[in-house]
Amino acid sequence: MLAEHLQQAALGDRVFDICLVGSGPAGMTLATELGARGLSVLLLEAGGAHYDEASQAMFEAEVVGPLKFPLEVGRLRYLGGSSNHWGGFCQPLDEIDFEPKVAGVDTEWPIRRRHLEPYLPRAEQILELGPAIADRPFGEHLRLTAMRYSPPVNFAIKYRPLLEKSEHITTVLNACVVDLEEQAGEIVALDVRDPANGRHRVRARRFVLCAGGIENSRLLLWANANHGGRVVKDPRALGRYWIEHPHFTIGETFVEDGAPFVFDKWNIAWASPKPELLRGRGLLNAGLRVTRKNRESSRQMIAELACVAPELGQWAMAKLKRRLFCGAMMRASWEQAPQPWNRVVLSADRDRHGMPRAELHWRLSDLDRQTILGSASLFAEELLRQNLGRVRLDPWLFGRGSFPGNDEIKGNHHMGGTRMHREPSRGVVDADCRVHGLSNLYVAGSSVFPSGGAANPTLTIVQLALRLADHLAGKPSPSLGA
Amino acid sequence: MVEPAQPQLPPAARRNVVMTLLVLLGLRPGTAPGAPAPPPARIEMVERDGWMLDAQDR
Repeated sequence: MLAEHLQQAALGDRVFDICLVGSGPAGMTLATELGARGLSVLLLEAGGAHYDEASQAMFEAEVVGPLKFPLEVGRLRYLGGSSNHWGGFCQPLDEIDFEPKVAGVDTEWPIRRRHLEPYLPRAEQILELGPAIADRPFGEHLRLTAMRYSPPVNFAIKYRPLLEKSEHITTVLNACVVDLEEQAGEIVALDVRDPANGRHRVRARRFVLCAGGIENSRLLLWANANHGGRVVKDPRALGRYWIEHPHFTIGETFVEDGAPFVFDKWNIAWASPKPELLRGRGLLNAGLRVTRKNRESSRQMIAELACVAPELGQWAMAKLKRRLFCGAMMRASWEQAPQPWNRVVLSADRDRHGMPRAELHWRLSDLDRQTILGSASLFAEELLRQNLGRVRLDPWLFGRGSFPGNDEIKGNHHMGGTRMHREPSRGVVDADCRVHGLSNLYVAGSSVFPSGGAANPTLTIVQLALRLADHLAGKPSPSLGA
Repeated sequence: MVEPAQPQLPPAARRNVVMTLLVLLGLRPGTAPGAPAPPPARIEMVERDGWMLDAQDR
């Protein structure tokens, strides 16, 4: 059934097998998978069935740091969550993304890619992906990756009919969780508010927070503050190691029109350093895209090159005139280094339920600069080696100036904050996504990512949710052993 | 009687002569405007005003 509000749902004293907090890709995947196995599932969505400004305003949060971006635009507070406006870009994480890459930077997951691979076919089915295209080498050091697309699947449209008729899944809209009730090492109930701030106590045997890359941290921070630290008993990592995929224009290039990579208008392809190179060069993962410029700005770029290298400029201009070359803008997104100082904290401002708003403390580091300069240099070097063109990089990559604050900055990929780690001191959940020290509280979604690679996160979110569904349904995940 | 050894150009100079002939005969692309530049045998990338160039780029 699907209820518009808690009163309509009339939950009474019912104890569900599983209570899910949030109906985005993670929550909806868990609901449908667990409901299909006959478990009684309560799916709580803080917003309604459609976009509502007053509801969305509950997500307002400030970024504290040199680079500002609005946090509320990257997430949506209604049925289906951020799947209501995502771009549909899908790519699995690389194997190396689960492993250590750079000394002193904790990018390692307690699981490996092989632990998520059994869930890839089902995730591809849910996201309606076409066949995968294998990476192609581009020279000795780079590879070209073709992005996979979801139509994009809107989870609310796709699954609402199923939710409405399901005997096992009870979906309640306008149900905002504001607190967790802990007793003797387990969560026994949630404090849930309706839009009029009416209080409801909701019970289940197990709970999963699927509220997104900011809200999962915010709710646990607030619950921990309310209950003397009994929810996340070792809070040292809580809210921390928050990461994004920084998105910046990094320079420009002129290249042979027939160069073997895709001129990318819609982010469909990227060039990345080969995984085996990352460790040796001290780089995190990255993706570079080239997008055609018009002829006039291409001509301007080559005229500027002529001031630095006249003969080369003359050669390039002649090629441009014969339409053998084209100018292109270079854009990049990359794996941000997970650092403890990048974190979600509770703000002094409160929302209409009296819950502190989130505040994100976030900045990029020298390793971020090193990662993108290193990757762009490999690309420039390959163009030189194959004599396909030349690259000009923006001054900030060389440390001449700061990261530009007027660029796109972020990919709206909110990751970390409740990261997965074997050690409770360095992560909030274990390899099964269970909160350390509690027997029945789990977290799903990108907030559990210890590191984010260079791939868009939704495919991994769905793979992880499928794996968690197996765990909650009592079907063991593929062995964590060798 | 042993013939005196013929004076020989060093290998690099010989290569230059051959390349020049090939360019003149139109059998090898040179660096004239409109023609592709020869791929450098060894890349030594340098940065000049943000441009990532080969040290031999002029």
